[in-house]
Amino acid sequence: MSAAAPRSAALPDALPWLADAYEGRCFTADVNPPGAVHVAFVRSPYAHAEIVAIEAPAPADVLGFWTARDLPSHAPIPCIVPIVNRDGTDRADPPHVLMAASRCRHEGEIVAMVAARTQRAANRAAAAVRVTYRVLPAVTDGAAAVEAGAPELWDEAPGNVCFDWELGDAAARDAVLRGAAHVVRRRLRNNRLVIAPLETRSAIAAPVDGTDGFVLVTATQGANWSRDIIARDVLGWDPGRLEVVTPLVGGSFGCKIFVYPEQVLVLMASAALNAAVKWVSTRKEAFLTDVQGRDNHTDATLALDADGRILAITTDTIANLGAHLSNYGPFSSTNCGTPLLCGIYDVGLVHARVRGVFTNTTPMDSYRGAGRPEAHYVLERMIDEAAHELGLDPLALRLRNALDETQLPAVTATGIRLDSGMFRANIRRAQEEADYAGFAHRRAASAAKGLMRGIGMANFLETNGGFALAKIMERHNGSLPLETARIAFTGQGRVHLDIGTQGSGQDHRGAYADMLAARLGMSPEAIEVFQGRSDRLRQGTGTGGSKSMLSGSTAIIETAEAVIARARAWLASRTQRPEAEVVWEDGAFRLDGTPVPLMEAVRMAEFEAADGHPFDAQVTSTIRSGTFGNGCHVCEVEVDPATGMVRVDRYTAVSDFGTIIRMADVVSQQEGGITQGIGQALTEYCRYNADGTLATGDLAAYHLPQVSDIPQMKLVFQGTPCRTNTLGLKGCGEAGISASPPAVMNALHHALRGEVDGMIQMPATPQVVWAALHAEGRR
Amino acid sequence: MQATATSPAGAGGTLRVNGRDVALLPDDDRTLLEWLPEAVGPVSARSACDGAHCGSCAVVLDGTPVKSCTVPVASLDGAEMRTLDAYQQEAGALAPLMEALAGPSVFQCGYCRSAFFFAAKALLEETPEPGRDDIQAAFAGLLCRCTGYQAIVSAVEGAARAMAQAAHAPHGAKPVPRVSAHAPRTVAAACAAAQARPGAYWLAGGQHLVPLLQHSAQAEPSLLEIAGIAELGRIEVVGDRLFVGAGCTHGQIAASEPVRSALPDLAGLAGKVGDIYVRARGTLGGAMVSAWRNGSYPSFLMATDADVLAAGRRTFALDWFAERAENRDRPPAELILGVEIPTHWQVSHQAFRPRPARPALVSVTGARDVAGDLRIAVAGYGARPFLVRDADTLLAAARGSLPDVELAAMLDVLPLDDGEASGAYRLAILRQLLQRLPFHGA
Ligand code: FES
Repeated sequence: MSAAAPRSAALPDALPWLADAYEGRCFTADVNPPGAVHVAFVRSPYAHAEIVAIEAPAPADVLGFWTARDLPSHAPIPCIVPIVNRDGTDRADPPHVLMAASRCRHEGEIVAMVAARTQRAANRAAAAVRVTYRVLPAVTDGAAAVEAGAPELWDEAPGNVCFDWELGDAAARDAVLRGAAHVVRRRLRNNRLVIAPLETRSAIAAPVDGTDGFVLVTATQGANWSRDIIARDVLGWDPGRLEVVTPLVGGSFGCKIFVYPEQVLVLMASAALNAAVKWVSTRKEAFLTDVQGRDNHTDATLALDADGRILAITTDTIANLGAHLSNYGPFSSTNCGTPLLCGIYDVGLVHARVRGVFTNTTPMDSYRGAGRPEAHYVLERMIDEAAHELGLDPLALRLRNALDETQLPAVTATGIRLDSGMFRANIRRAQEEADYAGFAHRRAASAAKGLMRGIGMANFLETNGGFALAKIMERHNGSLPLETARIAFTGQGRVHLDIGTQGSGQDHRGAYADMLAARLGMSPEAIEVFQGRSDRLRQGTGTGGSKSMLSGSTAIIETAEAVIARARAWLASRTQRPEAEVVWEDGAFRLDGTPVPLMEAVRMAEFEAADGHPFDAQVTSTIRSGTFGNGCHVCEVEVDPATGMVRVDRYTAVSDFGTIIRMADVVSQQEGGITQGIGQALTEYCRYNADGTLATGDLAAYHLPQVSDIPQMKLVFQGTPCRTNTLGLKGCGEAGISASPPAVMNALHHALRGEVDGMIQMPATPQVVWAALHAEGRR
Repeated sequence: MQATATSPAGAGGTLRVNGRDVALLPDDDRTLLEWLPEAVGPVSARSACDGAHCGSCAVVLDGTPVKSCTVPVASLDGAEMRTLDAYQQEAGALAPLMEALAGPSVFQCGYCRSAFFFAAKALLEETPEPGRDDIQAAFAGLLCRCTGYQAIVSAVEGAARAMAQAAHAPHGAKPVPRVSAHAPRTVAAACAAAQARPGAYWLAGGQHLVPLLQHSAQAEPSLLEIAGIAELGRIEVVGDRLFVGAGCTHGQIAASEPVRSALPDLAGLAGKVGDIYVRARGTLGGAMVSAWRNGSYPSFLMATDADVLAAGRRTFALDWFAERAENRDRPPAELILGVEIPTHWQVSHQAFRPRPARPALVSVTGARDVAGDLRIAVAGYGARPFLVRDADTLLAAARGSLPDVELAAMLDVLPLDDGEASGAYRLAILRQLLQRLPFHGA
């Protein structure tokens, strides 16, 4: 427990233009170092091509020009997720290079960088760079990539297979399938999604005068982690040479967690030119180079006994990894998602095989939910398909198989230890809140207008806390997740709270201030919360996996306890009495019954230490247990058979998020997540041209959900406090997107039952639905 | 962007930004969105989509809500604009709106805030007591990636109630369009200016043009501002014809009394063009020049046998769009003045717009005169809009049980078959739209 002062408190003194970013008052693009140099990138216009020649621009036109050959020595951007194949070998590890040296493997891959005085001049210079390519055949679909004769990307990955991984026991699976009364098989597509936060990525690097250090202002979901990957792993620097500052972030949803070539290249340019260097991504670049999410083909099997009890779920998935391995690339489809294939149900056996494959597409990584939405989609769609095949009511089938509250705590077939949950209660409550009873009436009303109406349900189980990731990040920070908080008393009754988690639009800071204020018996207005600065905290795990309230609160509570302990010791020695007589109660100390608020003691102890305040404390906490948010969503859609248009008419979500700290924030996280899931199910469609270039590469062609796509939702919260953390809270940020795609698609299939053959895959665009309704031999 | 607008020799004039005069540079070729942070520092108008879709860069310019990415800054000498920051300082009558939008978790990251604030402001000026549907319509096409939108809609709903009760609701005064001092005021002056600068683009609302130029590799095309020509802003009925000036915005056409009474479906289609910002600034002329394959006006003007009036010539709409289809990348040689539409028709315009505020996939206009003669024009189905050869027979066929292949054969045009939609789907939609026309087949 040390309360060391921030390492480079002088950073904004050295670089005055950094002040707003440093205080978290602006977005990265708002930061304008005087005299900054701007860079632009020459990018491959082809999905797959050999670079034959690059013609450098005339030196007079640019301040700097770099191809892969011109870069200082460095290592590729690491993929930190190890995967052991079914045969015991390690996954392939082709290098995630900063720039293509001889071969481009996806559209938008960087071929060269130019620097100029203005962004426009840099763009123009980049556009004028002549590159000669030899175009190669490309493959963009994961399933096509493993077919014989498909174009191959990497020598290290024959047949484009990066890994062939499994979870569970294949022999046991075969035995269960042989003995099952019913075996339902389906192929499901989890469509590729462009994450598209409204703020594009950006990076500003600058040397810190008088040192050999640099500062990098850039959006991350964890400044410390990004700093370590960039400085230590890629550049081979002492991480202390680099400080990463993340100011306001305009949405991330996972995609800004990862280290991208541009962040490193901007630093290299800054070092080479000894100047501040700025880059802001265009939307076009974002479509081609921000990691994208999902993109699985899954052959799923659900085995049931004669009574409709689920015996096993097994999957065989092809997960598209894109052209390079992003930092967590293989994580979503394997360790993060598959343990949830049993969801909230009492499933005897889970077996999953996943092949991660390379294609000539943008690298893939964790998008909100990171594999959990994919798993829930498979499971919850399969339950509806099984119910249909067996002639059962999907809701009844869910109730029959859901874990009962009395079975808790329980360990799932995949080893998840569930402490609490309201699985059956959620289903029953959702049935009532969504008015299943009135559905027949509403369906008749729709039919009278020539529309088809369906209702669909999906349950979700979250596993939050960052455990799966911590396990594989062992090399970095031990096998349990850590988080750090620092509390400093800065005079005039003000408190600074530094925290290692990091919001990217969601308002963590308000919740933290409330939390700390309650612990210290003071007003939240006096507390300023800092995040996203590697220089202020030595450790910080960042945000991801809906764990910030859990890990942040754990660190804050433990640090607050340290503060109180320090204050108690100081008061005891000051008043010359044993510590036991200084009682902390109801937000104040009691000395012989006289209340002394903490801030009063803070004032008394001011100026006692030369460096900081004697009560300042910093604690790195270990997060020992995760949380398991759970709930049940019900969606009702109306389909116009003439056009194939699907309208989400009603949406109900019943959730158990334990104790809720700030209701408005939780509601917004729910609505935002559900909305993104509705986008996946109905509107967001990534299409490629035959040559492998992206056909839907802008917001005119790639349809994010608009206001008219989203109904007013009915959100119900019924929580059992989590038993394994002090506040009893459970993660909620990714829950919405886990349940909404299957809820929407189950409703759609319900609406179309008997009217279409086979299944409709996401996204169910009007054209897709219309084509299914008007397939040969129908209508 | 890479275009230059001309300004008089010397200084580029001044633009009033949030109550402060800021000098413009002569021949500045930046958009307002690019210029703002460089000239005045960070503002809450933000770049996000690079395509004039999302609205995050919205500001109010001389009273009109605009996406700042569609405005060349060189055209703004003497103008007055405000970003959201100004209202955060001093909201005036809009205080309840500001307050409602600042509520807990109405937004998350807030990157999109300007889009919704200025759309709501514009809506409340027109419709002081909007229903939820009105608010949804005003937000069509705008993007927020963090929230589910409905909290924003609810906030505006609440603010509208509070503001309607207050005596000083901020509606009433119609903005007066402002034009650079040096911009031509007459058609003749504009034509003379164009002669002096061959290859220049006419700049009206800039909704298509500015984003287009920004992404084109074309070196420095010049712009000729035509918003100052009063003649282009006229709407009037002359005998049995309706004249609509090329400079009229979609919003003006939608709200125009003469249009609503003479050709209500024209007002209706104009009210569905683009989003609330496009309708406030985009013009009929701009739509006529860009002539999107699936644009909103072509089928209407072709079915109603309208004339297109350009400086020095009069063309059938049919011929105009055929010509434009060939030359979409080039500005038309002559200045377009407006359209003249016969009003003796009973007209019905039907469009299928799967994504609000985005172009219709297919649209159809039917026009029938008192003699019973029927004309039907179609856009979005084939590579270009077309007039149906035998409208009565087609209408009867679309309503009957004629199989799709035979219906398709009746059209001389092959349906487009692309990633957006298959030919079969376009045909099915066309059939639907034809069936919706309120005319009895022959
Ligand atoms: S609040 Fe983040 S984009 Fe709207």
